[in-house]
Amino acid sequence: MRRVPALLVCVLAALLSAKPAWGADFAIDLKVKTGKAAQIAHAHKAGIGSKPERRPVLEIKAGQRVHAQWQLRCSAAAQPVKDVLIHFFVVREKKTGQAALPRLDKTVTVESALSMDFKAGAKTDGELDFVLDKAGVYLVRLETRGAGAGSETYAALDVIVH
Amino acid sequence: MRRRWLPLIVLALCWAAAPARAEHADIDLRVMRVDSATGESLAEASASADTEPPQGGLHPRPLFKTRINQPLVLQFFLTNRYPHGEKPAVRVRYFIVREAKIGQKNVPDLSQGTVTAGCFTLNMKPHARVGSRVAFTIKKPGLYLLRVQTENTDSDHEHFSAIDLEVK
Repeated sequence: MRRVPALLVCVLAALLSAKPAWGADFAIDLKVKTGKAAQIAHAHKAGIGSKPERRPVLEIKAGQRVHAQWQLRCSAAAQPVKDVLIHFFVVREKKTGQAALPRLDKTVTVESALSMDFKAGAKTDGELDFVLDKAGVYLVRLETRGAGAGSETYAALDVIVH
Repeated sequence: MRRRWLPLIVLALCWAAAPARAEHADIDLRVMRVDSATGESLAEASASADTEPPQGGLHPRPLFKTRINQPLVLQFFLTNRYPHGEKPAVRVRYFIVREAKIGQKNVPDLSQGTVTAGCFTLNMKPHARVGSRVAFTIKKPGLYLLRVQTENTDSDHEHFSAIDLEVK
């Protein structure tokens, strides 16, 4: 895989995060299920000063196939917000409700992303399957990146694998 | 939110676009056997974009040989090269499904079950990108098709990339 110098990455990330705040609002439904058990999480605003949310918890057995499904919709935007990254991941964490995001490295279970422009009413959805073979606690999270200050939004839940 | 390293896929999607080609989509599809502790690739196969029709595309598929229960990762990046505006509700679908023989032209029926699968629907503007990295294992020996494909592009053809897996 091609590698990007760390400095270039930082510059790109800074450019993305430096967008003016247009005040876009996003609604998210993130559903995770296995068999008959399911949990759903909804949108929270991210950023400095935002209150940590209490995440839903889904308990499953190791080796069960898990289905994640989401829809993200721009419910309001004063102006179109360009090049928003919709980022989904499943990663191991230390405990349920952990405030700090785990580091995403090559051991991540699932990670996906897509880029899209959003005006009010625009939406994207996704679904995928994965298997958690090892017992532990996992964070399932869908988030925006590059939506602008005050508009970054996420939905998240925890999965306990026995 | 605590600062942290940006993940691999985010980095790749922020990456400057590659030079334009005549194709409407660039696809970089990989399957890797990985170290379960570090995620580092120990062996891999890769494929690029092909088109349908004709059924099965124009190019032969790479073959990746592995064993049951080995930790594997599929990874793809798809970049839209269609330059003439946004296409609404385009789907990007990936899957791993059992197939009857290596290089078979038709896609097996996904309703009969997949090893793993995913689908994203988005309004796809020029240079839009979609990517995924999914860890998986295959429990049963056999032949499998790993494929990522576009759907609903309102075009006379769709793009895909595919790799055959031989699991012993």
